[in-house]
Amino acid sequence: MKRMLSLALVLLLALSLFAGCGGNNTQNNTQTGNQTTEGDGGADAGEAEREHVTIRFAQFGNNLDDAEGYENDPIRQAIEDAVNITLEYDTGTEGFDDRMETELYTGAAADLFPTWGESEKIASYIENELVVNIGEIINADPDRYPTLYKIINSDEYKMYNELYTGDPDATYAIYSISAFADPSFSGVSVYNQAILDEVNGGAVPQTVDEFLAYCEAAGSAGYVGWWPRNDKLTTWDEIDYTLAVPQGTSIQEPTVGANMKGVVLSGELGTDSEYWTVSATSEASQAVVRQLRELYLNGGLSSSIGISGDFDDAYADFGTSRIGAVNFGFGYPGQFRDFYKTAWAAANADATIDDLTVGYSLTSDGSYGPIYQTGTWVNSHYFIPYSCENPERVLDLVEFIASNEGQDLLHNCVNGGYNFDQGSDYWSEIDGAYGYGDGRCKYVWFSYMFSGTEYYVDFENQDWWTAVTYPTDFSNNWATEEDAALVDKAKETISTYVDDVIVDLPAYYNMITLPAEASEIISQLNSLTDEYLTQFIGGQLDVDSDWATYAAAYEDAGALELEQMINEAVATARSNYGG
Amino acid sequence: MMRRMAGERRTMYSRLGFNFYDVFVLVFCAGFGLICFYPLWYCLVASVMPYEEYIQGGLMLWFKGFDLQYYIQIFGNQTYVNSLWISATKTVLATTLSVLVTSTMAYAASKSRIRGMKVINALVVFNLFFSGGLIPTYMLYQDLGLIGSYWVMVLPGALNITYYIIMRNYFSYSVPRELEEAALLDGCSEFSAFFRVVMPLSKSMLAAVALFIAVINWNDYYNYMMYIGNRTELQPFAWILRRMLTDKSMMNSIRNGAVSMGFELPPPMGLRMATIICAVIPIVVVYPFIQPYFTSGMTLGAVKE
Repeated sequence: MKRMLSLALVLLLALSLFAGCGGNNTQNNTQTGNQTTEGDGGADAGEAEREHVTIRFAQFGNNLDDAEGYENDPIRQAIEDAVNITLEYDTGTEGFDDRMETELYTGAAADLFPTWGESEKIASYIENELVVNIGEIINADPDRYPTLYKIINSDEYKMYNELYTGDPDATYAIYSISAFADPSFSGVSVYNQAILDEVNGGAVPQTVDEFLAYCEAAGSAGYVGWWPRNDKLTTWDEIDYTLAVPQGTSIQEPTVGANMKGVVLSGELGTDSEYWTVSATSEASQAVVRQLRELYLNGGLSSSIGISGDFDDAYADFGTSRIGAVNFGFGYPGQFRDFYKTAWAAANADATIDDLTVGYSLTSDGSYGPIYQTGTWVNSHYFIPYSCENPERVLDLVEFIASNEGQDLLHNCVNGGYNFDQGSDYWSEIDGAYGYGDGRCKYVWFSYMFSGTEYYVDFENQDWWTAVTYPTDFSNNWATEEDAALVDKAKETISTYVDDVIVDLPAYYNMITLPAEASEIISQLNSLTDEYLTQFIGGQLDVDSDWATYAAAYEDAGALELEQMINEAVATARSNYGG
Repeated sequence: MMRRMAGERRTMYSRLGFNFYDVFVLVFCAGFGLICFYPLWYCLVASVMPYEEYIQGGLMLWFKGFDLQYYIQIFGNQTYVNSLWISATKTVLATTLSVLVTSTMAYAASKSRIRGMKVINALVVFNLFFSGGLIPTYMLYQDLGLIGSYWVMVLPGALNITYYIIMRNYFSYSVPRELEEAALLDGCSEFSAFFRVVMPLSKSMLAAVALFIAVINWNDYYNYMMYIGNRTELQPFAWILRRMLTDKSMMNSIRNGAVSMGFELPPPMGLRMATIICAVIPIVVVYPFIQPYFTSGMTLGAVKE
């Protein structure tokens, strides 16, 4: 009896594994209460002539708690009028992705919904025919979707299609690409002007040698010369880009892809001659580590890095004028604004903008250290589910959002310029349920759809990749006078050298994938970098006598094999996606 | 030797009224109780403490000032008030329904003399270990018209299998069969016998089970999150609490609401603490009323006689 019962339970268990299966694609056409209503969608019809439909749009991380604000949302109404639709918003935070996926698999998904760009997930959506091939619809009617047609037929867009589907012409998603409006990079210091005046005659260091001399002078005068953000000596970007890269090397373990770090380029970028060398244990890197050790010994480099916290202790020490120079990603102007307010003005009641000085990317032998980056990263992707009754009308909405008129609505500007005509009342009005609660003048819905960093993108005058790589930030137009002045001050300095420092990598660098074993090697090299550099700088190991041990450990961990993998991966990406 | 030590222990106990073991148990229990109690106490104190005092940090053993502004801000917000109402109603409805459905089914299933009852029992218990999974469940709710509905937070928990097993054991082994038979001989139907004889005899067990089910329902936000998700007027309070801890947009919304009520922009921490206290209080208030039944009910059904 017990055996029979056990057998029956096992059979039931096995059968339960198939629960929910057995459906076919027809289930996707099952109507649910939240689907679009039928529309004629004629190719030549204007929006007003197309039948009115309801479209449910889902977006992560917003809220609908203010029902009155949502009802009176002027921007939603403007979008509805422009596309002749009724918009329903759907949102959530915790459990949002699970709900979206569950709804997708059960034929109840929102008409336009996002998910993150995981290749496997997207491939499974396509394989199971859960999402619409929007490329087929757009390409069949380019006059109706001129902006989208231009977008999806760009080489870079097709590159992403190929990544996810294997077919460059199969477009299933709107890809949201993130990029800062201004390049963001490390290796720029901010100086306490009073200390700069006291120990350096007010001169801002422009070369590595001048910077080292300044740090040592500040150390000798009883200050801490330099605090580079380091996350307790596990993050080397600031140190690397300030000192090593200008001297033609890199002291970090390799990172490849959208940012090429820890490797030094020889040959010509984008050609068969390009070659990336892992340089952490080179003689040039040894010389840089020796400089760091000396700085550490004489107070030029804070002796509490690796012990004290960056954002509490370093901020506090800088605010109380104990540090001469700090690095916290000041290659991005907004970072200087935030630092001034948080670390300096918060600790100094009579603070003025001139108290701090944004420094330069340093040169060595007359050359800047090149920073290689695509400046972009992939954000969420937006899909139309197969269960959506009227995908053409949803694409009408997307087309409108992609247009400059739509972007104007989201970002408070008209044709690339800030719309002063609407007056200050208008801007404060959107600072409600449908705007941001922190004073930003951006519309919360659709703002991530094309730019993952929520900036204005101009698809009408630029190709897709250029538009998403160089989005426009209008925030200075509505920022406070002080905030705008801080950003402008940083920009003014950075603009003098940014074009010499930043080297744009081709878009296919975003597609580089290393073999699985590479991540294990990188992880080991990362541990070695943290372990050895910390001890070299702190004096537990001798930079001269123990360097060979460090180099041998790097080699044993597979540095040379990794170098080969990197160059092969770059060559493969260039061959597959380089056009 | 052993007899001598035992004699000393008796002497010590008789002299002081306790021994080291008693002290250890007392200290351990007191310490454990303090560990459990202090976080709640901290939340309570922080929720009524002026922010200037709060940021001084340190142990919060007693009130330093008394300010109910966070509670005023919370109850001035319609989202909060509405979510409390949703939580209260769904907890009462779901608990009542669950106790009723589970107890009647458990009572019937306890009659193992009825043919087929063992099979039904096995099928019910099977569901304790195996479920259909999220997508089949979603499709079932969709077919039943529960998606996006208030009732998806009430109806699916009507039969609680864990407490079904406890109740069935209780009805099988702890309610004297003779009393049921006497009621039937006196002319009661099976329903009357259940409601007039068995239920009153099971008060302590039902009270304990009802409390547990009520706590489950009060704390539940998963059903809202997965099956409703987008109707903010149906948010339960547990979901609001969750959002207050993890969702920046929710916190901003409450803080801005407080400003529009004439308060200075409140610090997030104070609002979080007050929300936690609001989430805890209803259960804490109900608990003493059920306590007399609860203690005896906890052990019911555990022993087969």
